[in-house]
Amino acid sequence: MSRFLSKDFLSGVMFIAFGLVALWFGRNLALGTSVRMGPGYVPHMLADIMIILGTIISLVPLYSNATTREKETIWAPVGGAVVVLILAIRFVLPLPASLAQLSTDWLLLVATVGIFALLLICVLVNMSRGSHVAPSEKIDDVEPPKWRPITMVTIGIVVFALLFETTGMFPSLVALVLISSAGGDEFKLVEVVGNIIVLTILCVVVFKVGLSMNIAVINGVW
Amino acid sequence: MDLLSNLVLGMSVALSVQNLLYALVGCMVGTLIGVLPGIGPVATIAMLLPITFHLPPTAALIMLAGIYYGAQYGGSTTSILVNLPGEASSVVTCIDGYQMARQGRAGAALSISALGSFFAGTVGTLIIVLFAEPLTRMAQKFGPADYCSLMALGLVAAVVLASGSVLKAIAMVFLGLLFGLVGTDVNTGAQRFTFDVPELSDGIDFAPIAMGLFGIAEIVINLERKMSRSGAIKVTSLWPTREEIRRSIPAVLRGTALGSILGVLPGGGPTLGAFSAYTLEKKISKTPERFGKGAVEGVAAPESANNAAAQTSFIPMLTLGIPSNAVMALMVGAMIIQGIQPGPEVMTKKPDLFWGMIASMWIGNLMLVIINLPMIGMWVKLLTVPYRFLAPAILLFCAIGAYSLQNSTFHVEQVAMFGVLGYIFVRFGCEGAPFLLGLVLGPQMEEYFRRAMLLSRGDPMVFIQRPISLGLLITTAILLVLMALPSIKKAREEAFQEEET
Repeated sequence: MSRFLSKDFLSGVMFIAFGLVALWFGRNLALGTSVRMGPGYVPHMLADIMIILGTIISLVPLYSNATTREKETIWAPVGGAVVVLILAIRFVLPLPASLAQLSTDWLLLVATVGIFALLLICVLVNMSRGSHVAPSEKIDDVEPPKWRPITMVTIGIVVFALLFETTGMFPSLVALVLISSAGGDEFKLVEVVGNIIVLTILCVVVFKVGLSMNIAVINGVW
Repeated sequence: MDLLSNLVLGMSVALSVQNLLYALVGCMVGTLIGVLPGIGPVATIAMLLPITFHLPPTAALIMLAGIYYGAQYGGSTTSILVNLPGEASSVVTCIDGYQMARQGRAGAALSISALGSFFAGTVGTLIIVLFAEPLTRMAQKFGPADYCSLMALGLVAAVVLASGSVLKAIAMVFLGLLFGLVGTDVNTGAQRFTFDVPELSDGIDFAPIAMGLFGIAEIVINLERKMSRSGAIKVTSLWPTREEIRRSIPAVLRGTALGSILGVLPGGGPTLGAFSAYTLEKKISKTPERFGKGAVEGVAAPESANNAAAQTSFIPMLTLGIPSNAVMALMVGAMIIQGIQPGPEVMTKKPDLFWGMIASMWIGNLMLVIINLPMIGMWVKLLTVPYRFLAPAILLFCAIGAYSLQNSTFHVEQVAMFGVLGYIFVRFGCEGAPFLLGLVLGPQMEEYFRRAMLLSRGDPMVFIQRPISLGLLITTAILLVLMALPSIKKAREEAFQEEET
């Protein structure tokens, strides 16, 4: 199943997800006409494009790594189903009004039909000439992530944000440096304390004195 | 003469004590960043964006520009001395520079690269001076449809030059455009994708996104890898031999010419310039077997090319408002933060800023030669600072900087959010640069698109009927078709493979 973990497949899914999110949250924005575009016109166009590109990107690695037999028995129906499904999601789910809209706006109609035709052609062309794509083509898998650095860094910044206004710069600085240092490979307390001291001095000099920003070092004290 | 009075104006602005100071700070920080491996100019400029918010516009841009070309100089130092490219554009310098250093010619390699860079920087600045006015005048004739097509061309060209999958890069551009829509719609006042968060009604701020996508993600990736450091080679004499000078002069000239041209192209920039210059030298050399074994041309040409390209890539940004790479996108972001809309109006409405910045580029290049050559020992020492000290420091500066944008912790949280997103992008092999370009150009592009359609009464043919727009669109189409051609596709993949190794 490693082809479902390839970078291309997952990033395609991500693009589709962004497109769908944009469609959903933009569902109340008026489309307008191509002469007087409403606030929703461009977002919808972009969301459509995102979904289509995402679909193509995610299908290509799945398809190019399948055997000829798989291509005929699985991918022809799956490809067709995906296209139909996207059409259905695109028009039924977020936009009950968009069909009525289409009949009055030829540009949107042409653009939508054209884009979906393009998608269909891409899928079909890939399928028909697929037999000469080597099944052993290299799959670029996503490396298994190391969770510690990314979680520690993110938690560090969020804690900093939460502490900063209530407690001032110094406590939030200590928290950020401690937490993010724990995200690295080596953690030596003496070094981290030294780092905190140096950074505190540096920050006070640069931000408080140098740029004279209105920041409390410790809230209520300085 | 007009040109001369402009230059005098520029010099008078650039030579003010304050601006000289900021140019110096920019060059120092840039060199520092270039020397430290694992953090590139894009991440640095992103992190320092909030600080420039507190400076006057001219000083802010001068400092950011200083960081940009300072990083080019600093990157070459580490390439030559420790075989570690500080950033992408000095990767090729490693090949011959490090070999020269091992043969005891480190000093010569360093001074040739610094002097070559200085020459290239001077030429690059002159080219900006010469081309800025005609290009600006041309840009003033552009209508909304032309602008829209120009932006499309800029975005497509950026995609072509991104490494990795073209399709993914295009999708990243569109994702960037989509993120650019967040906020209040200019024409109707409708709230788009703001999720009832008041801070979002002005749009997502540019700085937190850039910091998260480039700064935080880069730090996390570096924390995952174990960084190994090899000892630096001692520098003895800085003077090159006569033979080395004789060999490098034509290489510097060719590198400068090639770099200047490639820098102007949308999507081009220092990295492309350096790679092409190295390839060119190797092709026309009578003794190609010397390359890879310490050929001085292999240091001189790419170093001058990357610096020339760093200079000339300012041209499309300054005259048309179209950024040609990620660093220029950040510069556009910095201008917008300062309340300046980049484009042809900058030159006519703010001549002091425009010419001051150009003049400061030359001064900055001069400073860099001085900063780099005699002080080389200090920079080499910096290489020994372990990453576990740097990472928290960089994070801290990001966090405080983001807060200082509008004194709101919401911005800091945004940095964390986009850091996670940036990490996902890296893991999925999606380039951040096209996203950034889309984000910067998004709001303007929508504006021009809607205006063009309004003027033409909803007729999309307007993009084809106007000759400028048609020409730009045809160029865009040709670029896209070229990308699909198998032979070019292969050459492109090879070029980027070389870059990765």
